[in-house]
Amino acid sequence: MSATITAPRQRGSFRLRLTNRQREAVEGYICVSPWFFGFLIFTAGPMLAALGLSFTELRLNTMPRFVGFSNYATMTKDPLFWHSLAVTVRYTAVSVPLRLILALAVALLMTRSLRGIFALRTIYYLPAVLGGVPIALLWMWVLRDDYGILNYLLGVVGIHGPRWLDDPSWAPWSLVMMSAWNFGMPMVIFIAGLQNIPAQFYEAAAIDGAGAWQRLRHITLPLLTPTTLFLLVSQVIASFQVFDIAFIISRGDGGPVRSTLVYLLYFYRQGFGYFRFGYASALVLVLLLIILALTALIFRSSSLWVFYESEVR
Amino acid sequence: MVGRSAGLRSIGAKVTRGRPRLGRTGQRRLGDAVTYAILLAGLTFTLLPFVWMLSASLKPEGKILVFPPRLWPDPWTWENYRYVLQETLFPRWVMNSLLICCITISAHLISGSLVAFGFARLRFPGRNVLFMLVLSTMMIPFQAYMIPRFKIIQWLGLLNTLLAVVLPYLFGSPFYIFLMRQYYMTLPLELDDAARIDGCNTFQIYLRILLPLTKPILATVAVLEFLAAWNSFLEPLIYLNSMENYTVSLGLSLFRQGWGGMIHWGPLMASTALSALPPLIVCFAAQKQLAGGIAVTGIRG
Repeated sequence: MSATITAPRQRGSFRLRLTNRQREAVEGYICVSPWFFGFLIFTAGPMLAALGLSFTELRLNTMPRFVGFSNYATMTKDPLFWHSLAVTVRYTAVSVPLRLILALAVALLMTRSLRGIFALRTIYYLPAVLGGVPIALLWMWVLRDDYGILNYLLGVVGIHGPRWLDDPSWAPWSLVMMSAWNFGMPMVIFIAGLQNIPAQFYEAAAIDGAGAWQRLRHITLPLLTPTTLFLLVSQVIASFQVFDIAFIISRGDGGPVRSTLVYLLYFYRQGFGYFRFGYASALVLVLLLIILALTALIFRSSSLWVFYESEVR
Repeated sequence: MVGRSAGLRSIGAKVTRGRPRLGRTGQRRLGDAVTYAILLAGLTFTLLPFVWMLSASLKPEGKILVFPPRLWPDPWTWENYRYVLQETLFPRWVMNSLLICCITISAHLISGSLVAFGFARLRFPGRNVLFMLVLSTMMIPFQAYMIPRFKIIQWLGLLNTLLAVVLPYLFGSPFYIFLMRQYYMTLPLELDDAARIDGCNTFQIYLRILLPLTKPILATVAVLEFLAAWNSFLEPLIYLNSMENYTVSLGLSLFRQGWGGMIHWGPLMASTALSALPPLIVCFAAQKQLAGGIAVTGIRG
């Protein structure tokens, strides 16, 4: 191996007498040490601490007091926990499919070789580089019920637009609209997936006389399922962590009437509004478990609907 | 009609040559026209909020909240921008955000690439286990350890300083390490061997041979981190509490609170436009780097 190549190097700048292999190991540890210490101090340590804190009662400037499973027990009886979970689940259930369908539809159109298609792609991607705060602010202005442009346009076609931001039954829909608008990332990934489908499948199908719909149904969609799986998992995870847009449109309180109180917003209010750090830690760990369980579930279900070319059935 | 390459089109043409079907090209033209029509209609959906924002930001105070809404500002004024840039802390927030971006980008490029080099090029016991740890922490949302991290920052006495926002990111972060490590893996090992024979030690190989070759992925990391740091909201929100230390995102949320009991949409939209500008410029100017990030993140299933 490379040891034989480097063996003649006897100069040994190290005072210690190390074999080449040992020296390489030491250098390896030195190289990864920045990450390792950062990981211990700012990720792994805090992770374990969060687990520990979830069994305590801890306020802003007190010492943690061990309370066993009491935080978790409180959670099961906390109507706002269930409420915020329901808000988040509903948001995810609507916004993720909507985003993915929009992204796929546009991606399908984008793969046609047309003039100016790259410019169009870039423009469609624009919202994806914005943060949640400007996105929420843009849409608050579009959605204003009295002077907003959307309700005006709806009025032009004879629809009396709802009070998007102030009506509790419509406010969650404004969140959905903001997230649907931001479909650039899945779109680009779908385009990449579409371009990876070998052209000979389409050629063979065309020779067999398959029409556009049949090619879409029997070639494109099945071969795109691995991409869809990846996107589904990542979008569900991201969607459960929605925070910025809900914080901005509701001034941080989840209103109107808690209709936009998404899970992380509730967590934030418990942790940094009331400084109930123990309870908030329990809340966020439960969210982590929910996300893990959902991810596992989606992966388990994938054998039913994801098609791999190399797979033998 | 989907995902056709040039190869397919030529095959299709060959097939139809046998039994001439008029309107084959006509059909394609029609398809193209429909595609354009749909995509241009979709542009309205994508661009409407931007246009509506610019429109409000260029209108004078009394002309913003009017019915029916008017898209074209008349009269046209830069007053909202002047107000935001001269009479608020907005420029200060921009400087804070830029400073944070510069520091975290440099940190990811320096320590992140060294870590990636270690994982990609050196053999040491436990390497695979450690790399699995890198990968698994990529999946864990920041909120899961946010409270203890806040406590650490508090304990270090760094609350309400910009250092709090950057400190946890000085050590490289899993996603970028993964990205760069994948790139290192594509460079031939013969490079290292040749350099070693020429008398380079490991760190010279890293610094002089490999690092210059990884410029494309370094650029990708810089672009992605710029967007991430510029857009970050929750983390600065918990650490920073005095206005002069705010980042752009926090400042915007402050504008959103309004003053005098109401939201001032002119200045709010002007500051939103200004804060959206750097990411939008990056989106146009750094398409290759953005695409590089998407290509490496394992989209191939």
